[in-house]
Amino acid sequence: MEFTPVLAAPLETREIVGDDRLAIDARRDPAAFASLYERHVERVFRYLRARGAPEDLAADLTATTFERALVHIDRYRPGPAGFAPWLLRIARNAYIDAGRRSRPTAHLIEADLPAAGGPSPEEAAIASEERRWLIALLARLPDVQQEALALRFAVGLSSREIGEVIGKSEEATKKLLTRALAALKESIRHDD
Amino acid sequence: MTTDKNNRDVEAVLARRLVFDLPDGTRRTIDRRVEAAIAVDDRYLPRALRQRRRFALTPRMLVGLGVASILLAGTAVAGGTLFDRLVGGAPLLENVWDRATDIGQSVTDAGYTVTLEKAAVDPERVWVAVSVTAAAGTADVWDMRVTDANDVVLTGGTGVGTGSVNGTAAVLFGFQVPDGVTVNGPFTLEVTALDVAGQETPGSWLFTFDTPLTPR
Repeated sequence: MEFTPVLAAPLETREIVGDDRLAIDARRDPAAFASLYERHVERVFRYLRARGAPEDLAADLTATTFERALVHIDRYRPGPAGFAPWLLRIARNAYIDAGRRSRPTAHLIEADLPAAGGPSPEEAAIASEERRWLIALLARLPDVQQEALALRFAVGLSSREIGEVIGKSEEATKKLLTRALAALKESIRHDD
Repeated sequence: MTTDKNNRDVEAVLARRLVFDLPDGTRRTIDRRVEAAIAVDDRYLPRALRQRRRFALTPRMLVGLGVASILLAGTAVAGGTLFDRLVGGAPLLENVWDRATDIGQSVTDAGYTVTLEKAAVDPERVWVAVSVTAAAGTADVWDMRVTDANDVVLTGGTGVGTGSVNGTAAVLFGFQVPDGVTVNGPFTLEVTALDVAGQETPGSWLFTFDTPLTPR
């Protein structure tokens, strides 16, 4: 469960042109939508997990996200904002809808089981404990700060892309991230 | 990625622990849902089928649409019933299966036996597990709908199917409940047509069932 270096590059520098082409083609071509799905399914799942959804709910909401995206693909307008923020806005709304129906738990407290061939049980236990601790601290932050941190660190969005998802300017998003990180740092300091 | 030099240590923790794996079984569950959604989307259906086919779940249709089919080919397990093979290894579908109520009603018409094996109701969907057995040849579900006690009719949704395997086909389908609507039992499931050798074959296979509302 190590940080994946590829996420360090903002999405807008990597795939956005291809996404726009696929999104247009997906209005008539199922293979184009399938390609968009392949590109983004992990990001959507990671975002939902980082927002606090347990694995089964995150899977359900990931599928719901793509079902809704399919229905509304005609509404997507290519542009600098990009496809990923559009898709993640759908995921965000799906998560909010699910919360309105039945908030599963305040936020993620579950542990992840180590994958076969992954870290040793001891390493996995440490990682799991650190994640529990981190999630508990994140849960103390305002919702919009949690959102921004999830989009940055679980999905790898740039400040501009995060702003597109949460409805803020790039500058405002940068400030929001700075405040969120400072608040989390302070929370960690108090917790130690 | 760095937002502020003073926060690099916090960022390192977030980068290390806020990235989640997507396990294979969970990925398969999502794949199946999205495949089914693509398969039933009217825009992608051949023109001749757009007006009449409510959903298409067979591997034949998926292949025909050029969509990668992972149904049984990707998930088959040794032994077990068709439904075991359909839901096995996919946590979401297993969740539906586990909370579904056994119904076990069968109706035979024109040599085709349709069985409502199980049903589950949650705030978003009414799930039915249906099998179709042909006396000769093969058959699959072509069209069906659910009506609740207040005459709310559900026709669309998402699901997975096996296609015909040794004369029997299994479908697990979740009828979408419209936003703002709460459905109530008892429910009626009407299978109005079967897919026999690629042709719509009308008939009447009618079931009445009730099952408690369960959380997803």
